[in-house]
Amino acid sequence: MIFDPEFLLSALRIATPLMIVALGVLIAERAGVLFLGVEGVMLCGALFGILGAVYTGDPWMGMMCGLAAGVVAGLVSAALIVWIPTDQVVMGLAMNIAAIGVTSFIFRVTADDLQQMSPTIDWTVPAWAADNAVATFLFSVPPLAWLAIILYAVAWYVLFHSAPGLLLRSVGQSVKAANSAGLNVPWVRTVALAIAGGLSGLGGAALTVGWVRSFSDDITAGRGFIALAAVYFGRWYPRWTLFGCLLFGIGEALALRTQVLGGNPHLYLMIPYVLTVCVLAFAESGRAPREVGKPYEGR
Amino acid sequence: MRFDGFQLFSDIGIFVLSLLAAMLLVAGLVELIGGDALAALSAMVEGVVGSRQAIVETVIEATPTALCGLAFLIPFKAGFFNIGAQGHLQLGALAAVFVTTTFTLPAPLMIPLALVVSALAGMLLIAPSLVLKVKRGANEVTTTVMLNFVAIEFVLAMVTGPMQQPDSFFAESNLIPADYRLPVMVVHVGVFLAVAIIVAAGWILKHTVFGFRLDALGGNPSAAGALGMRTGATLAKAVLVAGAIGGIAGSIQALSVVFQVAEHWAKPWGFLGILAALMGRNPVGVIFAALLLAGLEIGGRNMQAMTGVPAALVFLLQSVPVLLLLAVRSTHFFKMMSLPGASR
Repeated sequence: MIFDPEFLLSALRIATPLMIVALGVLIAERAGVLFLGVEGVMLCGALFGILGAVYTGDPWMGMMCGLAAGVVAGLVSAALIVWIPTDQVVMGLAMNIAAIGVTSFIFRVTADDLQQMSPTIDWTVPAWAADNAVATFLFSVPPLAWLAIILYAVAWYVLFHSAPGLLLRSVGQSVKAANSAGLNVPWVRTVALAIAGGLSGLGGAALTVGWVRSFSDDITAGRGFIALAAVYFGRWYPRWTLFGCLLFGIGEALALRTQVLGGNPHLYLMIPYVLTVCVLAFAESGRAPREVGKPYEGR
Repeated sequence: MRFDGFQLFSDIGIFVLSLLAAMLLVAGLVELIGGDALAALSAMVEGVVGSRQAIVETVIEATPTALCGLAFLIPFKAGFFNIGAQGHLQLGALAAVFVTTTFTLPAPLMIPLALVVSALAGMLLIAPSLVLKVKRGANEVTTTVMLNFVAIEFVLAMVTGPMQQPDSFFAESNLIPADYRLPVMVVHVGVFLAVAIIVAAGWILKHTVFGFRLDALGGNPSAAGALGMRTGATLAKAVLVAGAIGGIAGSIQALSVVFQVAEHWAKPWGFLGILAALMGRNPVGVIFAALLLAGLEIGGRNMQAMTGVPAALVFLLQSVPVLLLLAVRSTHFFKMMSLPGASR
């Protein structure tokens, strides 16, 4: 049996960092910013998450450090791609390469202390729930996955059922309209990028502190781009983005189980990317936030 | 013309200043960790131009970066962001290795065949992005990034599956037979081929109707269409050529440097190529930018070996000048994007 609870949990564990990062990307894209620098921001969060966790001895402090590093990196992105503004695609790519350099360097400098693993997040199934299969499953879902799901619910509500969310989406849909309605487009995008950066950093920390428990150079290895893919897969809707992330998690979890399944693990890893391209092919166009990728020079 | 000269001068000026700023930043970081900044930087320079061997290495390292830069630059002129050079390179190398290790032909036939097949592989990989962009309006940035991953996973699946070297524990393909490797004349012949491709592309972009059409398309697609240009066909040519160039970059690397594909065989040449294209902005400029990026890479390795300063700093030296350059240039960058004629 391949689709047992254990499999679902492993898929969920793999998907958790992706889910958090993808939510950040979704918010940035809804505000009209193509957040290609997400890979680098995630890497910063991953590094500072592990540094915080090791130096304070508390994994949750590590998560907070990752979040803070992400917010800073998001604000740097905002300075470069909203305020100057430069091209979002090329700036994102350049920032990713810069982030590899910065994080590897900081890691080398602080590496003496980092041979040790980060502390684990304590999480056990309470005794009273052990008898019930469903309760056991729910309680064995890692806390970070719950955090991610709650964040999605909050983001969905704020984006689609509140005034600030409407403002944010309007900036992504038409800067001209938003501007003539009296919105300060650069500020909205700056706030969106700070939130997006924070979530990406948190996702990076979830990768290192919550899962791998150590850091190595370029540990994200394209996961930021996968999160981007999940957002496109989800057509910029939180619930479908969440589903897209789970799909990537399942693909990777399948790849880990190829000894049972047979076949080549890399072919399983390929599936989610191919599916994303297919979704882009068959989904109706015009659903995307219209201003994504266009710099705003109206100031 | 005077305006052009000034533009060029200011670009080079900005670039040199950015590079100096990045070097100062790195020197500061080296001092911060208690190293000797002067020794580190001089070890770096020595690693690039210190010996004949160092220069040869730099040139060889710059080749795939320059070709990938061209693969970004040509569609970029037409307003198409091709982030997929890394994937084309991977697939092109795989195709070249497949052809040379599977079939037997006289070498003068085999090497061109391998190059052509790799170019076709690159075109095959970029075709979905093109079709989706033209027919469905899908953002090419996303699709090319996705297809990168598809290509990388496909290469890994091949070298751990059907194309794995028999009896090898590692994920690696068979070695390309010695007959089919590109001959070496100071540097391998692939370098000359790459330079020829880039110079030809530079001439075509600057002096032919096709180059002009690309500029028109990049400047204002709807105006180009309204004037009766077949925008789809022009874009398709540019994009397919880019895929082919990416594939050839991979096969040159496979046929002359690594001789096989394996896990983690490729450095991020595709992404460095984008940086090179943004720095260089025209095919000849791309050559110099690629040489610079490769020099930083080789010099960084020497710096790490000689002084123990982490070579990771090289990524900063490679990207910070580009960041600064883009930031400084951005005020007139988009004006030039919309009036490509003015950038000449």
